[in-house]
This record gives sequence, C-alpha cells and structure tokens, in this order.
Amino acid sequence: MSSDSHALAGSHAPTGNDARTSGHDRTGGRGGSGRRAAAVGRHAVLLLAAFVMLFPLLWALSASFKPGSDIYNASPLPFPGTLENYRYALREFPIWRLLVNTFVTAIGVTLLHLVAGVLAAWSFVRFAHRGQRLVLGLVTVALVVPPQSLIIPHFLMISRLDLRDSFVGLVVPQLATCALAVLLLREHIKAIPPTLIAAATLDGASPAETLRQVVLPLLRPALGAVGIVVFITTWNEYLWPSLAAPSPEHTTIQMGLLLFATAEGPEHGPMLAAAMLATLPVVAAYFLASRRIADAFLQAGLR
Amino acid sequence: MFAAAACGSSDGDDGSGTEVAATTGGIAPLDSATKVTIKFLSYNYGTPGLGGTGTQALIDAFEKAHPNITVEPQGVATKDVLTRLRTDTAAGSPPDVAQVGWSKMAEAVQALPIVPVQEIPPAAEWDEHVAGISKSILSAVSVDGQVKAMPYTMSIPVLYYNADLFRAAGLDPAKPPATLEEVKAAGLAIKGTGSEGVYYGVVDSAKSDFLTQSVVNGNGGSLVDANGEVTLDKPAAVGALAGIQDLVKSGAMPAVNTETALAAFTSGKLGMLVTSTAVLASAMKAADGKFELGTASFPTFGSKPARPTYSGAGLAVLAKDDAHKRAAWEFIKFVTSDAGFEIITSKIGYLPLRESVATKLADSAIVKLLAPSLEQLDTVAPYTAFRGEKANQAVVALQDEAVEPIVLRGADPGPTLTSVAEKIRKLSA
Repeated sequence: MSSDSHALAGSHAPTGNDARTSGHDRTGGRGGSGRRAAAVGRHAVLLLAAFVMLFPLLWALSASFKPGSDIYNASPLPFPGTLENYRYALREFPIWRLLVNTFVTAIGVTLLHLVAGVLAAWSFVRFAHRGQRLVLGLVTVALVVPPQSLIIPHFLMISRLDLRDSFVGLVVPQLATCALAVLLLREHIKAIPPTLIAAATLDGASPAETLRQVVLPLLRPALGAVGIVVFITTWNEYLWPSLAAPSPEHTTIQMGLLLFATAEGPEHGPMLAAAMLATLPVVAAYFLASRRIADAFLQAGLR
Repeated sequence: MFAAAACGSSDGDDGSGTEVAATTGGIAPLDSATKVTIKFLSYNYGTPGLGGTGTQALIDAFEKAHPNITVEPQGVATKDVLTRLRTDTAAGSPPDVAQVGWSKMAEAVQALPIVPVQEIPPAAEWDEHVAGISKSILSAVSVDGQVKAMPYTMSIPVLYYNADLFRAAGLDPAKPPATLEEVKAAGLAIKGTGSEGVYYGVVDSAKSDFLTQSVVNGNGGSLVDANGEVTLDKPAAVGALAGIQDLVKSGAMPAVNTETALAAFTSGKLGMLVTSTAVLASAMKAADGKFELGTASFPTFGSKPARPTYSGAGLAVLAKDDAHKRAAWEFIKFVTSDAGFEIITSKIGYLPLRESVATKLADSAIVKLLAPSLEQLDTVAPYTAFRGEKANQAVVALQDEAVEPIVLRGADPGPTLTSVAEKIRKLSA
C-alpha cells in the first residue's frame, strides 16, 4: 500500500495525527509515517480476514444466547439475551460425561503420538542403518494416506479383539496417524547441536539416557506444539468415535452434539450452547500454546 | 424354556389395502426364570427433550412389567442409524431391536439380517396383538403381505396453522384451507399482512422423501410404480412439484430451509406449515402463550383424493437366537400396546395407532390437534422405496438434486426430474 500523506520533518508523533499531505515531497521524515500507514493498512486487511474467518463462530456464540424464536433472526447481537440454552443443555444433556470421555481420548491419543514420535524420531537420528532412507520414505508416504482409508481394517481389528466401546479401541488405532509427529520431531532432534549428543556419549551415557537427559529437555517446545495439534485434531474427530465407541459410556462430545438434531424438531439453541461449551477446552489449549505451535512449525519448515 | 417352530410367510400383494396375513409357528413365550438382556438401538434415546424422556419412560414401564428382561438402550444420531446397523452387524453384535426410519427401512431390510417381526410370535398371538392397531397403517407397512418392521413412532403430514395470523389476514381459523389452491390464496393473504404465508417441508433436512411422496401421490402420481419402475418424471409427479414451486414463485412460500421455516412458525412469523405430525409436541410447546395453534388435514390437489404417506420409524428385529427374538417381541408388543402408545402419544407426540388410545386421550390437547390426521389415517398410502441396495442413496439424490432445486431455487421441474430419474434408474439397476 502507498500513501500520499507524510509527517512534518522531525515529527514522529506516534499517533500520526499531524500528517499533512503536500504533494510528492520525498523527504526522509516521511518514511516513518509511510511505513506506519502501510502497517495500518496491512493490519486492517489482516483484521478483516480474521473477522471473516471468525464470523461463523461469532454468529454461533451470539445465537447460543438467543431465545429459540430468535435463532434465525438476522440480528447479529442476542438482544434480549438468555442463558436458557445453556441451562437446558446442562440439564438435559450429559455434557460433562461426554467432555470427560473426549478429554480422556484426546489425552490418550496425544500421549501415544508423543511417545511413538519421540522414540521413532530419536531412532532415525541416533541409529543410522542401511534401510533408514526406505523407512523414512515409508513414514513420509504414511503422511499422505487419508485416515479414513484405514477405518475399515481398524474397525474389523477392534471388533475381532472385542475392543469396541472401550477407550483402548477408541485410542490405540488413532496411533496410525502419528507420521506427522515422527517427522516433525525428527526435524527438531536433527537441529540439536551434534556436539551436545557427542558429549553425552563421551560421558558414557547410553542412547536412552542421552534421550532422557539431553534431547527431551531441548524438545519441550516441539513436544508442546505437536501435542496441542494432535489434541485438537483428536478432540474434533467424529468418524472414528462414531464407529469405535458409539455407546454413551465412551462416546465423545462431537457425536453427542448430534443428539440435538432430533426428529421431533431440532433444538438449535441448546445445540449451539453445547457446541460452545465443547469448543472452550480447545480454544483454551490453543491460546495457551499458540506461539509455541507457530514457532515449532515455522522452525521445522526452516530447517 | 421356549419352543421354536418353523416359520412361513404368506403370499400377498403389495400390501395396499389388504388384510395382513398371519404366519404359522413362532416362538413361545419365555418362562419367568429366563433372564434376557436385549440391546435396543433408538434415535430417540438419550436425546434432550421429549423423544429422550418418552423413550426412557417406555423402557422403564416395560422393565417393570417384565422383570426378567433387561433393555440396554443405545442412542444414535438419526442420520447414522443405517451406518451404525451395518457396522454393528459387521462386528457381529447387532442390536436385538432397532428403531429405523421408514425412509431407510427398505435398504435395511435388503442389506441387514432383519427378522420379520410377524414371524416371531405364534400366529394367534400376532393376530390378537394387532387386532386393535390401525389396519390401514399395518397394510401400508406390509411387504408381500407381511409386516417386517412394527409401526412404532408414526406420523403423517399435517397442516399446522397460526390462528392469530389467520384472523389478522381476515381468514376464518375455523375453516382452514383444504386444497393447494386454497393454501396458496390463504398464504398470499397472510403475506399481505407482513408475515410469511405457508411452507411445505418437502426439502427435508433428514433426507426423507415422505412429504415429496405425499405431495406427488396427492396429484395422482408416484415415485415408483407397483413393479418398482421409477415414475418420478411422469407428468403427475412433475405437476405436483410444479405446484409447490408455484407457491414460492407467487410469494406465498418463502424459499428457506425447513429448520428456518419451523423456527419462523414457532416464533409466530409464518402462517401455515405443512410437515410431519412428529413436530406437534414441540410446536405446541413453542406456541404455548404466544399464539393459537391449529391443525388441518393434509391439503389435496383440487378434488383429487389426499394420499399422504407416513414418516417416523418402525421397530426392526435383528436378534440372533430365539430367546433374544422372543424378548425383542415382548418389548415390541409392549411398546405398541395400549400402555405403550399412550406414552408414545402423550410424551413424544406420535400418532396413537390404536383407536382405544385415541379415545382414552381424546380430551388431551395433543390428541385434539392430532384429530385431523387420525381422520386421514384411512387414506394413508404405503411408503414406496426405490429398488436395490442403494435405495437410500437414490432418496438423497431425489431430495438434493431435484426437490431442493425445483422448490427453493426455481429449477425447471420437467428436465430436472427427468435427469434425476435417469440417475436413480442407474442406481436401482
């Protein structure tokens, strides 16, 4: 973006309110305000893009406070607002049990991904062997296999092992999608200065001790980032829980939300209220670690 | 413990308007010492609101009456019933009883190991049980003269109207419109007062074509003929959907989805709504204290007879052994008895298929509003299904690629139905 406005020489008021337009005088004092104007423009575009992306969520949040008769009104604000949808969802719907089920599942899958990811990534870096390139190639190929294509064999496997409707059956097969964790963590381990690992080896540390005492402390940010991504993905998963754990004892919140779409008239207000409550843990997790997530992926891409 | 005997099925016709023939044999009752647990898959179970509480009440009442049978209910989203039944069957553990929507029943019967419910009890017991159930519904759900799945939560299309908006538009709420032409005129009169006129819920969010069938039947057409041939591109079917499209073009009907229309009606901004009686209880709850709710029979096309079909669900048995089959029958027998239908009607809002229950509850607000539908039960047409294992896929194609574009987006009914009919013929081949 360009701007014709420029600040008076020597003036750099942070507000930029003293800018004057005076033709196309290219003095040095104008660069600051030009850059500021460009930055303001960039931020305006970013804000607009963020608003467009957030709009459906904001609308759902607003609608969750509207009485049933106003849900389809065009008004963006819930006036007069009501908490009845939230009261109804909490009273009529086993939301806490479903949230606990979803949390247990998401934590279980995250831990499995991290353990498998760290061990696989460490073995790639630490134990060079002849078939390493082939194995790494296979892991990379696994990354592009759609998880849905594994559903039928996984389903038959847990059915024959009598693991349907159990947390084990729900969690363990989701380990099959840990290729991303392996590759990301491998990049981060490769970035650790080799001298550190060599020094630990010279001190007589075994590979397991080196991993525990040297590598893991340095991997903490990457583990956090990968963990959060896996957690969010698992939290939002619908298809696998619908097959693996359909019973109320083990089912997840994403499946539970569909129970509001009844044949006797959908309960959109309470459904949106429950959806907002279901979104809170994920939003909180992301806000806690958003910088870490961005950094980890950015660094992985730069290396 | 119980005696099993060979079952046979009678020959019959397409089940329209015939007496349902009894089978021979059947499984004798369980003795009271035999403890059985049956799994009941229901899309009402566990849902917040009326469907969930009503279903729980049915289960509680049944277990109290049958201490030796335990019901293990399982919830499922309405749209996932078929997928769930397929996966449960593949895993070797199907439910013993399942609530299956009629739009999915044909595919379920084709693809799943469903035991025809009429084959389970001895013939005399079957005859005794169904004696008080609406004959027209029983024959409408029969396939080859046999009831494969028991009519359970049944509904038919009805015209709901807002009596207050009628009065505001100078219309008489005591004389609701009876034909499509009258509906259009009333809709335009209400539209003139600033509210929306009428909405036909043919674009069903649950992807059922029960209202599409009801509209097409009413114009003398059909989606499939008696031989299973696709007929949805014939003039009568095209004319039926053109009639609904005309409501939109004239301004009498808003071009919105069914949920929006339902919300508009319950908030008092829509004059008339033509949809299933299934939403009656929630419509009554929403209208309470806001406006006067009225109901009228499903409108006809001029002087042609109304031929509405039914929606809702039947109970299908997938039990594997005789003890579970018999326990499943005991459950079905209970929930479709007087006591069961009393709960189904008063707590969930579905039709009382037994006249005795309708008479007993005649003074209740819900049965008063169901009266026009109960009077129309004798005109109910069988729910027709497309041929083959892709019947449900064909219904989705019809609804998404023909009904929605014609009704809501002004697509030309003739060519649109012709191209979708071709697609469905290929799916049914």
